[in-house]
Amino acid sequence: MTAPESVIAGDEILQTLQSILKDILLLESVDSLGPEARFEEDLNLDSLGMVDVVIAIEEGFGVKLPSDVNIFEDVRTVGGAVALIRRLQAGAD
Amino acid sequence: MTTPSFEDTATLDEFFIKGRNMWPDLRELRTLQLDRSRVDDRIVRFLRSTALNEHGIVHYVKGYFRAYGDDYKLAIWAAMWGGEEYLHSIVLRLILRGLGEEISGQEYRGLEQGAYAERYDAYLEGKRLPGVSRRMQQLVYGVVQEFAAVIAYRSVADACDEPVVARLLRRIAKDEMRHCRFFQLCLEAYCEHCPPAERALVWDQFNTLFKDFRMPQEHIEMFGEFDMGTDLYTSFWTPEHRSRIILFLTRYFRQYRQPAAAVAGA
Repeated sequence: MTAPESVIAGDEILQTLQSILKDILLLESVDSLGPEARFEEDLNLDSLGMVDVVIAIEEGFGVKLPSDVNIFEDVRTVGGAVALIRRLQAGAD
Repeated sequence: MTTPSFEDTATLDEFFIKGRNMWPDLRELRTLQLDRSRVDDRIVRFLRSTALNEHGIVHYVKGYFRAYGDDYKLAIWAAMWGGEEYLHSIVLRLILRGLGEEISGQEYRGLEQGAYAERYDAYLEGKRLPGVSRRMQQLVYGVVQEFAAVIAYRSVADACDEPVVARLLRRIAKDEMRHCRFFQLCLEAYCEHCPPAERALVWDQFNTLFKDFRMPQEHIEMFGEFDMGTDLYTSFWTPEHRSRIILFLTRYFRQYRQPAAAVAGA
C-alpha cells in the first residue's frame, strides 16, 4: 500500500526545507530539524534568523507568505512551515 | 561631493504636503477629554516616552545632518522630518494632558541635556560595514527605525481601550509609515548612483543593524534611567506585530540581496 500523495508531497517538502535550513543554520546534519523543532525555542532563531526562514520558504518553494500571516504562529515549528508551504502551493495551483 | 539624492524637489514637496494634510484638527485636540481609567499605566509610560522622544528630535536631526553630508535635499528632509516628529510630540502631550498627565521640567531638562551625538554615532559606527557610507547606513537605519515606530504605535493602539487615544496613535503610525516610505525612496535613489560594490552591501548592512536593533532613544541616558527605552516599546509587541516587522523588512530589503554566485564571481 502506498502512502497518499499528500503524505509523499509533505515528506518532500520537509526534506527540502530541512536541507535549506541546514545550510542557513550551519548545521552538520538535519537531525535537529524534525517537524516538532521550534524555530525560536529549539533552534535559537532570533528575529534576524526568522528573516532567513521567510526567505528560505518563499525562494525555496516559489511561494509568497501573505502579509497577514503570523509567522510566529504558522511557522513556529519546522512542521508548521511544511504545512504552510503545502497550503500555499495548493492555493497557487 | 556625493551624488545628490533627488534631482528636483518634487519628492520632498509631495511628502511635505501629505504631512500637512495629516493633522487638520490640531486645534481641536487641545480640548481632549479622555477616560484615564481606560488607559493603563504602562500605556501612559509609553505616551510619556514617545512624547519626550519626539521632543528630543533635535538630537536626531543633528545626526541626520552629519550623515547626509553635502546632500542639500536630504538636509531639507531632515529639517522637515524634525518638524513633523515635533508635531507628534505636541499631539502626544495633548493626549497626556487629556489624561491628566504632564511632562515635568526635569524630564525636559534631562532630554535636552543628554549627550546623544557621541553615543548614537558610536552605535552606528560600530555597525557600519566596510565599504558602506555613513549616508547609506543612515538610510537603511531610517527604513528599519521608522517601520519599528509604525509597529510601536500600532501595537499600543491595539492594546488601548480608550478609543480616541487608539485612533490618534494609529494616525501617528500612518505618519511614521509615510516617513518610512520616504527613506525607502531615498535609499533607492542612492543605490541608483552609488558604486555597485556598495549597493551589494545593502542587504548585509540591514542584517547587521536588524540583528541588534535599538530605538534611537537608547542613546539618550534619560530614557534608560526612567525605563522608557526599547524594552518598553517591544513589551507591547505580540507575535503578530513581530511577524509584521519581519515580513515587511524582509520583503523590502531582499531586493538588494546578491545571489551567492554573483557575490562569489565579483
